[in-house]
Amino acid sequence: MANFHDLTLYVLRHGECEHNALGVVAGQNDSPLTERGREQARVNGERLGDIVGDLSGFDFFASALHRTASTMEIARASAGLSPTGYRADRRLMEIDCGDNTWRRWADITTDAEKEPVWHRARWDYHHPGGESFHDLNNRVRAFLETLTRDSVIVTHAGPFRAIRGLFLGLTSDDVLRYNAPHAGIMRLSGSKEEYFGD
Amino acid sequence: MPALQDLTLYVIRHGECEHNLAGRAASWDDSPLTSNGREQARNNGRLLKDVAGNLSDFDFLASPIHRTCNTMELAREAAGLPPTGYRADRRLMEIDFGDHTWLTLDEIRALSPDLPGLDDSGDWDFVRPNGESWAHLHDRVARFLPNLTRNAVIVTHYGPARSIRGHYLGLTPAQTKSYKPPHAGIMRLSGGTETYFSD
Repeated sequence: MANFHDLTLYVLRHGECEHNALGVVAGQNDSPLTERGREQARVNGERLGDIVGDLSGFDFFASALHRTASTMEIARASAGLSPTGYRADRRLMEIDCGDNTWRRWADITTDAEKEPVWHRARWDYHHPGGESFHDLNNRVRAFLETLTRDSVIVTHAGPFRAIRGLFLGLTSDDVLRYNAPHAGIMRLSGSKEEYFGD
Repeated sequence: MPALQDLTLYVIRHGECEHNLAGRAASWDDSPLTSNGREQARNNGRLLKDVAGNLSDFDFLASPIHRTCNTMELAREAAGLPPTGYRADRRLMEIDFGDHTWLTLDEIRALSPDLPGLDDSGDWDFVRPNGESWAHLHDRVARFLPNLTRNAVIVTHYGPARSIRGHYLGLTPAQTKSYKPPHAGIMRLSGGTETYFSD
Protein backbone atom coordinates (compact mmCIF):
# COMPACT_ATOMS: atom_id res chain seq x y z
CA MET A 1 0.00 0.00 0.00
CA ALA A 2 1.39 3.36 -1.04
CA ASN A 3 1.66 6.23 1.39
CA PHE A 4 -0.61 8.84 -0.17
CA HIS A 5 2.01 11.53 0.49
CA ASP A 6 4.19 9.80 -2.13
CA LEU A 7 1.48 10.02 -4.79
CA THR A 8 0.49 12.82 -7.15
CA LEU A 9 -3.15 13.85 -6.73
CA TYR A 10 -5.17 16.13 -8.96
CA VAL A 11 -8.17 17.44 -7.02
CA LEU A 12 -11.21 19.04 -8.65
CA ARG A 13 -14.39 20.44 -7.18
CA HIS A 14 -17.74 19.90 -8.93
CA GLY A 15 -18.87 22.69 -11.25
CA GLU A 16 -21.23 25.40 -10.06
CA CYS A 17 -24.72 24.10 -9.15
CA GLU A 18 -28.09 25.76 -8.73
CA HIS A 19 -27.74 25.67 -4.93
CA ASN A 20 -24.40 27.50 -5.18
CA ALA A 21 -26.07 30.20 -7.24
CA LEU A 22 -28.91 30.34 -4.65
CA GLY A 23 -26.44 30.62 -1.76
CA VAL A 24 -27.68 27.59 0.16
CA VAL A 25 -25.67 24.65 1.52
CA ALA A 26 -26.62 21.40 -0.26
CA GLY A 27 -24.59 19.06 1.95
CA GLN A 28 -25.57 15.55 0.90
CA ASN A 29 -28.63 16.73 -0.99
CA ASP A 30 -27.95 17.79 -4.53
CA SER A 31 -28.93 20.20 -7.25
CA PRO A 32 -28.15 20.23 -10.97
CA LEU A 33 -25.00 21.72 -12.46
CA THR A 34 -25.74 25.11 -14.01
CA GLU A 35 -24.72 25.68 -17.63
CA ARG A 36 -21.75 27.57 -16.22
CA GLY A 37 -20.93 24.58 -14.01
CA ARG A 38 -20.99 22.22 -16.99
CA GLU A 39 -18.64 24.56 -18.83
CA GLN A 40 -16.29 24.65 -15.81
CA ALA A 41 -16.22 20.85 -15.85
CA ARG A 42 -15.45 20.77 -19.58
CA VAL A 43 -12.65 23.32 -19.23
CA ASN A 44 -11.21 21.44 -16.25
CA GLY A 45 -11.14 18.22 -18.26
CA GLU A 46 -9.23 19.89 -21.10
CA ARG A 47 -6.92 21.50 -18.58
CA LEU A 48 -6.24 18.15 -16.91
CA GLY A 49 -5.31 16.63 -20.26
CA ASP A 50 -3.02 19.59 -21.01
CA ILE A 51 -1.25 19.44 -17.64
CA VAL A 52 -0.82 15.69 -17.28
CA GLY A 53 -0.60 14.48 -20.87
CA ASP A 54 -0.87 10.71 -20.53
CA LEU A 55 -3.62 9.94 -17.98
CA SER A 56 -3.44 6.16 -18.38
CA GLY A 57 -1.41 5.72 -15.17
CA PHE A 58 -4.04 7.46 -13.03
CA ASP A 59 -6.97 6.17 -11.02
CA PHE A 60 -10.14 8.29 -11.09
CA PHE A 61 -12.42 8.75 -8.06
CA ALA A 62 -15.56 10.83 -7.54
CA SER A 63 -17.99 11.39 -4.73
CA ALA A 64 -21.10 9.28 -5.43
CA LEU A 65 -23.39 12.33 -5.34
CA HIS A 66 -24.83 13.39 -8.68
CA ARG A 67 -23.08 16.76 -9.05
CA THR A 68 -19.58 15.31 -8.63
CA ALA A 69 -20.14 12.17 -10.70
CA SER A 70 -21.63 14.35 -13.47
CA THR A 71 -18.63 16.70 -13.29
CA MET A 72 -16.29 13.70 -13.51
CA GLU A 73 -18.06 12.36 -16.61
CA ILE A 74 -18.03 15.73 -18.38
CA ALA A 75 -14.35 16.29 -17.48
CA ARG A 76 -13.28 12.80 -18.59
CA ALA A 77 -15.10 13.17 -21.90
CA SER A 78 -13.41 16.50 -22.60
CA ALA A 79 -10.03 14.96 -21.66
CA GLY A 80 -10.65 12.33 -24.35
CA LEU A 81 -11.46 9.49 -21.92
CA SER A 82 -14.51 7.23 -21.66
CA PRO A 83 -16.94 9.09 -19.34
CA THR A 84 -17.62 6.26 -16.90
CA GLY A 85 -14.14 4.83 -16.27
CA TYR A 86 -13.99 5.95 -12.63
CA ARG A 87 -15.05 4.71 -9.17
CA ALA A 88 -17.61 6.54 -7.06
CA ASP A 89 -16.72 6.49 -3.35
CA ARG A 90 -19.05 7.55 -0.54
CA ARG A 91 -16.20 8.82 1.62
CA LEU A 92 -15.74 11.69 -0.87
CA MET A 93 -19.29 12.98 -0.28
CA GLU A 94 -19.79 16.48 1.07
CA ILE A 95 -20.05 16.92 4.83
CA ASP A 96 -23.40 15.72 6.16
CA CYS A 97 -25.02 19.00 7.25
CA GLY A 98 -27.94 17.22 8.94
CA ASP A 99 -30.71 19.68 9.79
CA ASN A 100 -28.64 22.50 8.27
CA THR A 101 -28.99 20.92 4.82
CA TRP A 102 -30.34 23.38 2.26
CA ARG A 103 -30.07 26.41 4.59
CA ARG A 104 -28.14 29.62 3.91
CA TRP A 105 -24.62 29.65 5.35
CA ALA A 106 -25.29 32.98 7.11
CA ASP A 107 -28.28 31.43 8.94
CA ILE A 108 -26.27 28.33 9.87
CA THR A 109 -23.52 30.54 11.26
CA THR A 110 -25.97 32.65 13.29
CA ASP A 111 -27.22 29.50 15.03
CA ALA A 112 -23.78 27.91 15.37
CA GLU A 113 -22.38 31.03 17.07
CA LYS A 114 -24.70 30.34 20.02
CA GLU A 115 -22.71 27.19 20.73
CA PRO A 116 -19.43 27.40 22.67
CA VAL A 117 -17.77 24.77 20.47
CA TRP A 118 -18.05 27.06 17.44
CA HIS A 119 -15.76 29.58 19.20
CA ARG A 120 -13.51 27.00 20.83
CA ALA A 121 -12.94 24.75 17.80
CA ARG A 122 -15.05 25.11 14.66
CA TRP A 123 -13.46 21.82 13.58
CA ASP A 124 -15.53 20.01 16.25
CA TYR A 125 -18.87 21.75 15.59
CA HIS A 126 -21.48 19.09 14.71
CA HIS A 127 -24.21 20.00 12.28
CA PRO A 128 -27.38 18.93 14.17
CA GLY A 129 -28.08 15.34 13.12
CA GLY A 130 -25.02 15.41 10.84
CA GLU A 131 -21.23 15.46 10.91
CA SER A 132 -18.44 17.67 12.23
CA PHE A 133 -15.46 18.60 10.07
CA HIS A 134 -13.49 16.26 12.33
CA ASP A 135 -15.79 13.38 11.22
CA LEU A 136 -15.38 14.38 7.58
CA ASN A 137 -11.61 14.56 7.93
CA ASN A 138 -11.49 11.04 9.37
CA ARG A 139 -13.44 9.49 6.50
CA VAL A 140 -11.40 11.39 3.91
CA ARG A 141 -8.20 10.12 5.55
CA ALA A 142 -9.57 6.56 5.41
CA PHE A 143 -10.20 7.06 1.68
CA LEU A 144 -6.72 8.48 1.00
CA GLU A 145 -5.13 5.50 2.76
CA THR A 146 -6.70 3.17 0.17
CA LEU A 147 -5.01 4.90 -2.80
CA THR A 148 -2.36 2.86 -4.57
CA ARG A 149 -1.66 4.98 -7.66
CA ASP A 150 -1.57 8.64 -8.72
CA SER A 151 -5.19 9.79 -8.84
CA VAL A 152 -7.67 12.32 -10.12
CA ILE A 153 -10.32 13.10 -7.50
CA VAL A 154 -13.57 14.99 -8.11
CA THR A 155 -15.19 16.06 -4.86
CA HIS A 156 -16.82 18.90 -2.88
CA ALA A 157 -15.61 21.99 -1.01
CA GLY A 158 -15.35 20.20 2.36
CA PRO A 159 -13.48 17.05 1.30
CA PHE A 160 -11.29 19.22 -0.97
CA ARG A 161 -10.15 21.15 2.12
CA ALA A 162 -9.59 17.92 4.02
CA ILE A 163 -7.52 16.31 1.25
CA ARG A 164 -5.35 19.42 0.95
CA GLY A 165 -4.90 19.63 4.73
CA LEU A 166 -4.04 15.95 5.14
CA PHE A 167 -1.61 15.99 2.23
CA LEU A 168 0.20 19.16 3.32
CA GLY A 169 -0.08 18.54 7.10
CA LEU A 170 -1.93 21.79 7.84
CA THR A 171 -3.45 23.08 11.08
CA SER A 172 -7.23 22.98 11.36
CA ASP A 173 -7.44 26.79 11.01
CA ASP A 174 -5.48 26.66 7.76
CA VAL A 175 -7.62 23.79 6.47
CA LEU A 176 -10.88 25.66 7.11
CA ARG A 177 -9.59 28.95 5.69
CA TYR A 178 -9.14 27.52 2.18
CA ASN A 179 -11.94 28.07 -0.35
CA ALA A 180 -11.89 25.60 -3.21
CA PRO A 181 -12.94 27.12 -6.55
CA HIS A 182 -15.34 25.42 -8.99
CA ALA A 183 -12.99 26.15 -11.89
CA GLY A 184 -9.38 25.12 -11.72
CA ILE A 185 -7.35 22.14 -10.56
CA MET A 186 -5.18 21.57 -7.49
CA ARG A 187 -2.09 19.40 -7.87
CA LEU A 188 -0.70 17.88 -4.69
CA SER A 189 2.69 16.34 -5.26
CA GLY A 190 5.94 16.05 -3.30
CA SER A 191 4.53 17.89 -0.23
CA LYS A 192 3.62 20.91 -2.36
CA GLU A 193 0.43 22.35 -3.81
CA GLU A 194 0.12 23.96 -7.21
CA TYR A 195 -3.06 25.51 -8.56
CA PHE A 196 -3.94 25.52 -12.25
CA GLY A 197 -6.74 27.86 -13.28
CA ASP A 198 -7.61 30.93 -15.25
CA MET B 1 -50.53 18.81 5.79
CA PRO B 2 -52.25 15.88 4.00
CA ALA B 3 -52.13 12.37 5.44
CA LEU B 4 -49.78 10.08 3.54
CA GLN B 5 -52.64 7.85 2.34
CA ASP B 6 -54.40 10.90 0.82
CA LEU B 7 -51.51 11.31 -1.62
CA THR B 8 -50.76 9.44 -4.82
CA LEU B 9 -47.12 8.35 -5.05
CA TYR B 10 -45.36 6.83 -8.05
CA VAL B 11 -42.25 4.99 -6.87
CA ILE B 12 -39.50 4.08 -9.33
CA ARG B 13 -36.21 2.28 -8.70
CA HIS B 14 -33.06 3.33 -10.57
CA GLY B 15 -32.24 1.41 -13.75
CA GLU B 16 -29.84 -1.52 -13.73
CA CYS B 17 -26.23 -0.58 -12.89
CA GLU B 18 -22.89 -2.31 -13.36
CA HIS B 19 -22.74 -3.25 -9.66
CA ASN B 20 -26.15 -4.99 -9.96
CA LEU B 21 -24.72 -7.22 -12.70
CA ALA B 22 -21.61 -7.84 -10.59
CA GLY B 23 -23.71 -8.84 -7.55
CA ARG B 24 -22.25 -6.06 -5.42
CA ALA B 25 -23.98 -3.82 -2.89
CA ALA B 26 -23.19 -0.27 -3.99
CA SER B 27 -25.07 1.33 -1.10
CA TRP B 28 -23.73 4.90 -0.87
CA ASP B 29 -21.06 4.19 -3.51
CA ASP B 30 -22.19 4.16 -7.11
CA SER B 31 -21.64 2.61 -10.52
CA PRO B 32 -22.88 3.66 -13.97
CA LEU B 33 -26.27 2.69 -15.37
CA THR B 34 -25.86 -0.02 -18.00
CA SER B 35 -27.36 0.62 -21.45
CA ASN B 36 -30.17 -1.70 -20.35
CA GLY B 37 -30.59 0.46 -17.22
CA ARG B 38 -30.82 3.64 -19.27
CA GLU B 39 -33.49 2.02 -21.44
CA GLN B 40 -35.41 0.91 -18.32
CA ALA B 41 -35.33 4.52 -17.07
CA ARG B 42 -36.65 5.87 -20.38
CA ASN B 43 -39.36 3.19 -20.55
CA ASN B 44 -40.42 4.02 -17.00
CA GLY B 45 -40.70 7.70 -17.99
CA ARG B 46 -42.97 6.86 -20.94
CA LEU B 47 -44.99 4.51 -18.75
CA LEU B 48 -45.36 7.23 -16.10
CA LYS B 49 -46.74 9.67 -18.64
CA ASP B 50 -49.18 7.04 -19.96
CA VAL B 51 -50.39 6.10 -16.49
CA ALA B 52 -50.44 9.49 -14.73
CA GLY B 53 -51.40 11.70 -17.66
CA ASN B 54 -50.91 15.29 -16.56
CA LEU B 55 -47.79 15.39 -14.37
CA SER B 56 -47.88 19.13 -13.67
CA ASP B 57 -49.41 18.66 -10.19
CA PHE B 58 -46.69 16.25 -9.06
CA ASP B 59 -43.53 16.93 -7.07
CA PHE B 60 -40.47 14.99 -8.25
CA LEU B 61 -37.96 13.72 -5.70
CA ALA B 62 -34.84 11.59 -6.09
CA SER B 63 -32.04 10.20 -3.96
CA PRO B 64 -28.98 12.44 -4.57
CA ILE B 65 -26.79 9.48 -5.58
CA HIS B 66 -25.72 9.56 -9.23
CA ARG B 67 -27.67 6.50 -10.46
CA THR B 68 -31.03 7.69 -9.14
CA CYS B 69 -30.58 11.27 -10.43
CA ASN B 70 -29.55 9.92 -13.82
CA THR B 71 -32.62 7.68 -13.85
CA MET B 72 -34.84 10.61 -12.86
CA GLU B 73 -33.44 12.80 -15.64
CA LEU B 74 -33.81 10.10 -18.30
CA ALA B 75 -37.36 9.31 -17.14
CA ARG B 76 -38.44 12.96 -17.02
CA GLU B 77 -37.06 13.55 -20.49
CA ALA B 78 -38.89 10.49 -21.85
CA ALA B 79 -42.08 11.80 -20.19
CA GLY B 80 -41.68 15.08 -22.06
CA LEU B 81 -40.49 17.11 -19.05
CA PRO B 82 -37.31 19.18 -18.59
CA PRO B 83 -34.72 16.76 -17.11
CA THR B 84 -33.71 18.73 -14.03
CA GLY B 85 -37.02 19.91 -12.52
CA TYR B 86 -36.76 17.75 -9.40
CA ARG B 87 -35.37 17.88 -5.87
CA ALA B 88 -32.75 15.52 -4.47
CA ASP B 89 -33.25 14.40 -0.87
CA ARG B 90 -30.61 12.55 1.17
CA ARG B 91 -33.22 10.60 3.13
CA LEU B 92 -33.99 8.67 -0.08
CA MET B 93 -30.46 7.21 -0.24
CA GLU B 94 -30.02 3.44 -0.13
CA ILE B 95 -29.38 1.72 3.23
CA ASP B 96 -25.89 2.62 4.45
CA PHE B 97 -24.05 -0.72 4.26
CA GLY B 98 -20.98 0.70 6.04
CA ASP B 99 -18.09 -1.78 5.83
CA HIS B 100 -20.25 -4.06 3.65
CA THR B 101 -20.34 -1.46 0.88
CA TRP B 102 -19.21 -2.81 -2.51
CA LEU B 103 -19.01 -6.41 -1.27
CA THR B 104 -20.75 -9.48 -2.70
CA LEU B 105 -22.99 -11.54 -0.43
CA ASP B 106 -20.25 -14.19 -0.08
CA GLU B 107 -17.74 -11.52 0.92
CA ILE B 108 -20.23 -10.05 3.40
CA ARG B 109 -20.80 -13.47 4.99
CA ALA B 110 -17.05 -14.00 5.29
CA LEU B 111 -16.65 -10.62 7.00
CA SER B 112 -19.75 -10.93 9.20
CA PRO B 113 -20.43 -14.60 10.08
CA ASP B 114 -23.15 -13.36 12.47
CA LEU B 115 -25.23 -12.01 9.56
CA PRO B 116 -28.75 -13.44 9.98
CA GLY B 117 -30.65 -15.12 7.15
CA LEU B 118 -31.77 -12.64 4.53
CA ASP B 119 -34.97 -14.28 3.30
CA ASP B 120 -37.23 -13.23 6.16
CA SER B 121 -37.25 -10.35 8.63
CA GLY B 122 -34.35 -11.89 10.57
CA ASP B 123 -31.86 -9.24 9.54
CA TRP B 124 -34.26 -6.30 10.05
CA ASP B 125 -32.39 -5.08 13.14
CA PHE B 126 -28.92 -6.21 12.05
CA VAL B 127 -26.75 -3.07 11.99
CA ARG B 128 -24.14 -3.19 9.24
CA PRO B 129 -20.69 -2.45 10.69
CA ASN B 130 -20.32 1.36 10.64
CA GLY B 131 -23.62 1.56 8.75
CA GLU B 132 -27.37 1.15 9.20
CA SER B 133 -29.93 -1.62 9.71
CA TRP B 134 -33.08 -1.99 7.62
CA ALA B 135 -34.91 -0.66 10.68
CA HIS B 136 -32.71 2.47 10.64
CA LEU B 137 -33.46 2.97 6.95
CA HIS B 138 -37.18 2.46 7.61
CA ASP B 139 -37.06 5.23 10.27
CA ARG B 140 -35.15 7.55 7.94
CA VAL B 141 -37.78 7.07 5.21
CA ALA B 142 -40.48 7.68 7.86
CA ARG B 143 -38.88 11.08 8.54
CA PHE B 144 -38.91 11.91 4.82
CA LEU B 145 -42.55 11.04 4.09
CA PRO B 146 -44.23 13.75 6.26
CA ASN B 147 -42.48 16.37 4.11
CA LEU B 148 -44.61 15.41 1.13
CA THR B 149 -47.35 17.98 0.58
CA ARG B 150 -48.45 16.99 -2.93
CA ASN B 151 -48.69 13.92 -5.11
CA ALA B 152 -45.17 12.87 -5.96
CA VAL B 153 -42.95 10.84 -8.25
CA ILE B 154 -40.06 9.34 -6.27
CA VAL B 155 -36.93 7.79 -7.81
CA THR B 156 -34.98 5.84 -5.26
CA HIS B 157 -33.23 2.55 -4.46
CA TYR B 158 -34.29 -0.98 -3.52
CA GLY B 159 -34.42 -0.48 0.26
CA PRO B 160 -36.21 2.90 0.39
CA ALA B 161 -38.75 1.73 -2.25
CA ARG B 162 -39.67 -1.17 0.03
CA SER B 163 -39.89 1.13 3.05
CA ILE B 164 -42.10 3.68 1.29
CA ARG B 165 -44.50 0.85 0.41
CA GLY B 166 -44.33 -0.53 3.94
CA HIS B 167 -45.18 2.82 5.55
CA TYR B 168 -47.93 3.60 3.03
CA LEU B 169 -49.66 0.25 3.45
CA GLY B 170 -48.92 -0.09 7.18
CA LEU B 171 -46.96 -3.34 6.84
CA THR B 172 -44.86 -5.36 9.27
CA PRO B 173 -41.07 -5.64 8.71
CA ALA B 174 -41.49 -9.11 7.16
CA GLN B 175 -44.19 -7.83 4.80
CA THR B 176 -42.09 -4.78 3.98
CA LYS B 177 -39.12 -6.99 3.12
CA SER B 178 -41.17 -9.37 0.97
CA TYR B 179 -41.47 -6.85 -1.88
CA LYS B 180 -38.68 -6.94 -4.49
CA PRO B 181 -38.66 -3.61 -6.35
CA PRO B 182 -37.74 -4.11 -10.03
CA HIS B 183 -35.57 -1.84 -12.21
CA ALA B 184 -38.27 -1.83 -14.90
CA GLY B 185 -41.80 -0.90 -13.94
CA ILE B 186 -43.58 1.53 -11.65
CA MET B 187 -45.43 1.14 -8.36
CA ARG B 188 -48.41 3.39 -7.69
CA LEU B 189 -49.56 3.93 -4.12
CA SER B 190 -52.97 5.58 -4.13
CA GLY B 191 -56.19 5.42 -2.14
CA GLY B 192 -54.54 3.10 0.38
CA THR B 193 -53.65 0.43 -2.20
CA GLU B 194 -50.79 -0.54 -4.49
CA THR B 195 -50.86 -1.02 -8.26
CA TYR B 196 -48.02 -2.12 -10.51
CA PHE B 197 -47.36 -1.03 -14.08
CA SER B 198 -44.83 -2.43 -16.53
CA ASP B 199 -44.42 -2.87 -20.25
